Amino acid sequence: MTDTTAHIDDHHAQPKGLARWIFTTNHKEIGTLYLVFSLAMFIVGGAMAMIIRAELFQPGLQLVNPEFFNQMTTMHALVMIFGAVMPAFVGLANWMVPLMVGAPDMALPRMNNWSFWILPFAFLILLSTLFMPSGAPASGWTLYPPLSLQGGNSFAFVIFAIHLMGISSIMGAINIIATILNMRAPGMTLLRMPLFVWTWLITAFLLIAVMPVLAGAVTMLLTDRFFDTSFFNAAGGGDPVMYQHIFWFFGHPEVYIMILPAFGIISEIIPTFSRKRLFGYTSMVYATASIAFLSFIVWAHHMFTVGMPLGGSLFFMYATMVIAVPTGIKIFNWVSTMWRGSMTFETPMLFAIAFVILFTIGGLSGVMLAIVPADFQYHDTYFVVAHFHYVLVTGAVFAIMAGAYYWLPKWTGYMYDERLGKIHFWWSTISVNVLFFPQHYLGLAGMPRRIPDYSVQFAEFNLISSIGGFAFGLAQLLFVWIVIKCVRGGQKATAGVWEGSRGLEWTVPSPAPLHTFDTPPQVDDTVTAHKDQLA
Amino acid sequence: MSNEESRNSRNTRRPVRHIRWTVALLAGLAALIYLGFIGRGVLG
Repeated sequence: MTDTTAHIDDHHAQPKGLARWIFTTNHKEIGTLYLVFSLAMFIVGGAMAMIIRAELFQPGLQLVNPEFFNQMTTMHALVMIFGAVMPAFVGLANWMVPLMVGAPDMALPRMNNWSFWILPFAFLILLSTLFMPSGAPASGWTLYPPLSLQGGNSFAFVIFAIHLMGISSIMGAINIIATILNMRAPGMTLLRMPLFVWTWLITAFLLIAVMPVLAGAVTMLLTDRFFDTSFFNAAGGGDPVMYQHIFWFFGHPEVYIMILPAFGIISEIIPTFSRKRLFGYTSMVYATASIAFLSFIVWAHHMFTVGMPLGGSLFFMYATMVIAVPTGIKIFNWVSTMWRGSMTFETPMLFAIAFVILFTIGGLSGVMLAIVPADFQYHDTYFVVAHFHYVLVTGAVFAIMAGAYYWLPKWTGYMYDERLGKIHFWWSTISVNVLFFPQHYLGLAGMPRRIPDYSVQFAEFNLISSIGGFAFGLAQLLFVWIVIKCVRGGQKATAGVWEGSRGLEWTVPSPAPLHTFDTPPQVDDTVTAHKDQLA
Repeated sequence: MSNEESRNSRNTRRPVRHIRWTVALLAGLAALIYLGFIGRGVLG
């Protein structure tokens, strides 16, 4: 037996240096790669946001020409969505899902390696278009034809990059589903799984269902642009509105792909720092599944102003509003979990509470946008920009921050600097509201999105927004420093790390050893439940 | 056997062939959706 083990260890001798990271099949190392890549993309996408806010600091054209400004808004979105937010969640899933379900690794470790290593090349190709004669795509991240087809030959590189990102996402999603459905430790029944695992299981199904739709849409763009087809060309018998339907059939579930894992993270953190079990665990699972289902039948609410029959408008309006019900259930459950809990306010909990409050603002402005007649006023204004940034920055990104602080001690073996963490939280929370809240007023006053210059009546709120933007950008450099400091050392973390933590991931030492759960743990209620559940 | 004991003894670790089937079905589904939407485009 000892010989066999020695043989296996020998077989898996770790390469050193760069080769270790290129050839790794370990879920923790691949998780780290995803998270580092995501952080790099946050910085790249953030730099683009700084250019946008610098140009909008005052009316008139100051820093960049309009064509480059349009490239910045397009690339900022593509980089942040596909390069920063999605890989961050996949990184967290890689690290935590096998630990949470008691699996020794992901189901397909070599495919896991490939899923990650496709990404840097995809983004190298996408970012390289900035240096091509025809420039980066400038038609907005939705790539609506006919505008997107009027660019130069660099468009082919953009489409290839999007295909690569899609392949990476689909492989990652298959891996996560195969792991969760087949590799859970004995006793880890589906309704004992941590919420983060549940939300990722549902998200992975969403990914498999909609990434091929995006791939199909951009493939047709490619053939329209370079092979004389007319899928979306009205002059050739095609239909540009069909592109919008296909794109948003992908695009709306995509929004939930970026928020459901965030719900999972928040559902892990709030019980830990409230020292209570999660209120309404089962309803959380059903609410997540409901949101995922509804995400497929609301796509045309992005297209009210394009025009559709009254029945269509009413259906998409009411279907969109129905999403508020399962989302409301979740918010109710998070608040009820905190109710009468023994709460403490470490940095992950602060970000989680800010998430609950600020994401709700984004949710409510979403309900406003769902109202068809109101949407005719709000559509393509800064109100929409404010809405989706509340959802994606104070929602998804705050949840990623919360998760990073929550699990950093488990990853590194050291506690992060709590004082700096709190400074980072308050700095981010104040500045992000200075950045995005005035954009509601700008939109209501009629300022269109995706413009490099604007009427002087919008000057004050744009000035305030830009100051908030620079402050928020600066705050994230502090986050990078906090992470580096934590990796380099600090107070030693215990296995449990947090007083109220429960679950398999907190039973392994900190830092988590490279190989965990080679022998499957036996899961029972004492492992997964909170103290008050057992009482 | 109590409910908890029943849950504890549930077989949650599946044989490797289940992983293969999961991958094959999901990859097939993704391919079908991709081709289906392009097919929808071809039909106009």
